[in-house]
Amino acid sequence: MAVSLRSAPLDGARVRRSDRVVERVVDGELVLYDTARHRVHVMNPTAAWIWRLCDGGHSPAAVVSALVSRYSGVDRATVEADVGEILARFRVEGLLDE
Amino acid sequence: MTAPLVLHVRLQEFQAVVRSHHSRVLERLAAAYPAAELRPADCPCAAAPSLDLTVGAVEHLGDVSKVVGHLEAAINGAAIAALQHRVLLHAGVVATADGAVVLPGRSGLGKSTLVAALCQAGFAYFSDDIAILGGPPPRVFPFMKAVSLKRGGVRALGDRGGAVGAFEAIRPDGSVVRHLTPPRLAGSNGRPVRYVLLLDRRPQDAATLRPVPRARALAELAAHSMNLPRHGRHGLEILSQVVEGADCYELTYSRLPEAVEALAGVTGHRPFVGDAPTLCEPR
Repeated sequence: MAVSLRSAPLDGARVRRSDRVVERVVDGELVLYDTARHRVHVMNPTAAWIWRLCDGGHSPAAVVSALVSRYSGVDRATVEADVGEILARFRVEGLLDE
Repeated sequence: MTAPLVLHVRLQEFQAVVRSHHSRVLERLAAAYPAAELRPADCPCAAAPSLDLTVGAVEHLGDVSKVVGHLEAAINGAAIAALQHRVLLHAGVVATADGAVVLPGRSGLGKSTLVAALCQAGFAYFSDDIAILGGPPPRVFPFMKAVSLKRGGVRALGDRGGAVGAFEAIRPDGSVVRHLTPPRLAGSNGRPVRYVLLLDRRPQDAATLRPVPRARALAELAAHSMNLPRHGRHGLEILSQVVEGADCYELTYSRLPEAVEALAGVTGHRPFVGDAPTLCEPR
């Protein structure tokens, strides 16, 4: 099912993974299982990296900064768009605490 | 009407008894459970059954098919409810000497037909519909009901379907199935999962078998689990261990013989040596 997403605002509060989500790394790929919705998500490397930063200690803007620092040479505006979209996806899927 | 009989059905820890004077009903029902045992009513059972049914109020069994179909649904449903402490998947399971092959998939995908074809080709039979997982170490256990084939499945099996019973059971949902007891049964012991096979049946496509990432196989197993929310982190751990110990493939196919040949090729098709079916032991 296609879901239309509006990018999450990057000036929002700190983001935190939901306790309902259990995770497992298989052959280097992060797999999330949402026990409440009985849904499984296989993360791509970027989404997995952002997921790790959803620890309650990072705001969306801090996630962007961390990614820009990690990948030198990337355009900040592009990173902001990607982070916004991925966080919005996490929210739509119920993977984050609100 | 005949002397009262009792049919003992055992599906792992679950045990059902069905009592009736109607031997025809019990004999038909027994065909749905390869390890079932029909005994005189006074033959004791080692343990109290999880389900105790009596078919006594049916005066006019004009449609034995519906009676058997409903009894089978009641037994399977009760067994699934009783086995909730295990991780359960919608999946067919067969085995070779190397271990089990798990084929997850929704109902109607063709699991039972493919499982039947694989068993007729020499694979050992575990289940056509439900995989019972336990561990650690992760193992899959047989759910020893007969293969249930709809008319399309019987047609697809063609000559391979010679052992399919002629009796048709009508399930509560109206579907009509015939039962097949494969020649080689797995018994009751668990086996390690050696292969996870994702099925993709496409008309006209030649059979192809290609490796898939274990993360995707894990996602498929989780998506086809029947009670993963109940098990949460521990359940995901078991499924993860299953895929980590298995080779994972996607099988695209349209014709059964090609699918069987492809799977036989990748598994090496070494005959399974299993334990004998375990029945309810008399006291």
